[in-house]
Amino acid sequence: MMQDEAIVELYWQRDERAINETEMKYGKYLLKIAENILLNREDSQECVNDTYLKAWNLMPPNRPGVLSVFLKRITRFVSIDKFRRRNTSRQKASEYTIALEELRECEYAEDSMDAHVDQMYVTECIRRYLNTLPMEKKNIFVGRYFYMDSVKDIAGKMHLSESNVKVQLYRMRQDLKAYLMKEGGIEL
Amino acid sequence: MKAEMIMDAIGYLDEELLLDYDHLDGTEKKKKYFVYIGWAAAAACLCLVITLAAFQLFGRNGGEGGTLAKKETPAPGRTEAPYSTESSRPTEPAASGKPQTEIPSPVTGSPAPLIVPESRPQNPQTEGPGIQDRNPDSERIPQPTGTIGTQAPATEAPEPTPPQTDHPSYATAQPTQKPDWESMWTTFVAMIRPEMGGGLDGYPMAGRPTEYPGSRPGDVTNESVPTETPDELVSEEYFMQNSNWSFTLNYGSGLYVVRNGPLADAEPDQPLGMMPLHIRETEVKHLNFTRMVQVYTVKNIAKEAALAIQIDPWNYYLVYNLSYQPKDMASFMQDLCLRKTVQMLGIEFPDAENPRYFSDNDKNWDVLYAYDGAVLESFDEAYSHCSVRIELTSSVYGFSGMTVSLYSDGYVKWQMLGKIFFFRTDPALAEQLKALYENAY
Repeated sequence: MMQDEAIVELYWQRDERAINETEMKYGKYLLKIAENILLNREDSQECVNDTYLKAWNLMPPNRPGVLSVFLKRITRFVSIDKFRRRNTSRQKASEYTIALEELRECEYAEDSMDAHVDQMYVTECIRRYLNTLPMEKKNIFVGRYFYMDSVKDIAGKMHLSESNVKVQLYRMRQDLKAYLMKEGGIEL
Repeated sequence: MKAEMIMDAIGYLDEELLLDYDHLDGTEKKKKYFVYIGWAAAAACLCLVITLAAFQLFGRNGGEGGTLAKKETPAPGRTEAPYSTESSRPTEPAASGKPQTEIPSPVTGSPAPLIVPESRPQNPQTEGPGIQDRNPDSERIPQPTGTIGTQAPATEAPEPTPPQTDHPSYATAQPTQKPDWESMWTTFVAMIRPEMGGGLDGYPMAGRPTEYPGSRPGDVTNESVPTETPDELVSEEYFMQNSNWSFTLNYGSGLYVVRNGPLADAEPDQPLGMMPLHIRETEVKHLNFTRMVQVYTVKNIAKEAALAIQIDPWNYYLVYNLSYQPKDMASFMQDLCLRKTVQMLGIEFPDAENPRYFSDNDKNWDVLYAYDGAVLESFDEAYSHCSVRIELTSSVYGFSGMTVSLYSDGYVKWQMLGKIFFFRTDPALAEQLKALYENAY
């Protein structure tokens, strides 16, 4: 397998082998993320192809430090975008929909935080919240709500039982809600 | 706050938060099985050791128990210790047929061998014969033969005399040995320890930080994806244009601010590194935080004038240097590459009876470049008269409908980079240029 730096260099040199190398090295991981969100093989493959295209358009000027995260983030956004454009009434319960329903526990009324506050600030709050957690909990949260892995997969990767992962996720959601409500009006 | 917003916000988390989980893959699952196998092996070894130890201990006890049953009726001349405990029981037969030590019965005065369990002192006077029914070892407890007085305490028992091995009553008896507890425990620990240590080392203990070779959380660059933004996905543009928020960046000696939404046509060029972007909302909630962003130069634009930053993975934003001070109008137009980045929609002459409007972009620029010697200078435009107004638009800088104004007293006014620049030239030149403009069309 080619090293990430070499693959990025291929992108910068506008060498089309970059796409093939990316697919060989990260194709199955990207497909897994897309399938976790879309629960549809064909749509997922389409999102992965869109990921390659966007990566091609983004490098240069981008020179990502961690190519895998860079690609997975693109796949995540593209897949969520596609998910939202689909007819929601016909959607099956993918890991994304389940994770989204879980995150509804973190919802709260707008008046507790200024309505103008949006993603950047929420991202900052979540980042700060995650930095208060030990490594294991942080990884569970990221695995579930960024990579959209199932509880079973997370339990396997983290050497934990599924019930343990579920309990930890539940507690983190409760803590995150409290954290967001608390930080909404306080200078950080 | 909606779950969708939280989910989107999670998508913008920094790489350093995502790296650790990203390095977990299927191989970790295989390692888990190896850990289980290690624990199973350790448990098997432990069971084996316990079995061996138990066999060594209770196997001999069992054999001895068999002889003890026989010892209830000791052979003639056999000497029994008054309390049959492991530590006090004689291990060798007596040297002669006569017992060397006898505990006389309180009643009969005859030797009465007593075998009493350690944990249950026998008091037949109070418990009576019923104790035999409850005690499984009751068959080993000889019945008192008369009025029983107090039993001799164990400490008063005389030390057993080493028996003679050639005594005929012990000719067939198995010699018993005192178990060596110390050596057994040492052996047990020696067998357990390597397995235990290996198992603990391989077991993923809770709270132990996992380190991955090659991962450098603090040494990563931010990534960004400047593509078209789906409306339902990102509201960064609204965020950036919200007047309640301010975004400032310090680079060199300049203070750069965000003025517009995501770049449309400007091309980020060379990355300058990760820098802190200070974000403030001081009107409503008094929020104030910092976020690391990747900073780029912008193609064709001097970095002293403007830079590009990535706030989110999908978009670039221009930041303008508030302290940018060009020497003259030539350097101003060169630094900002105005001819390439700004389109002139037309020139208007407000003084004319019938204001005329021209839209030849190249010719307009040629006319304007005649002012390139004008120097930057402060100016109070309230008392001056605008003779020529040029309408500008730029997809690079993200504005439309702005104007360049030429004043009759030789000043040129630019509205660029979020502020106003005045350049002064000779009023005579201004008149000449005005005439030149008018004649040019």
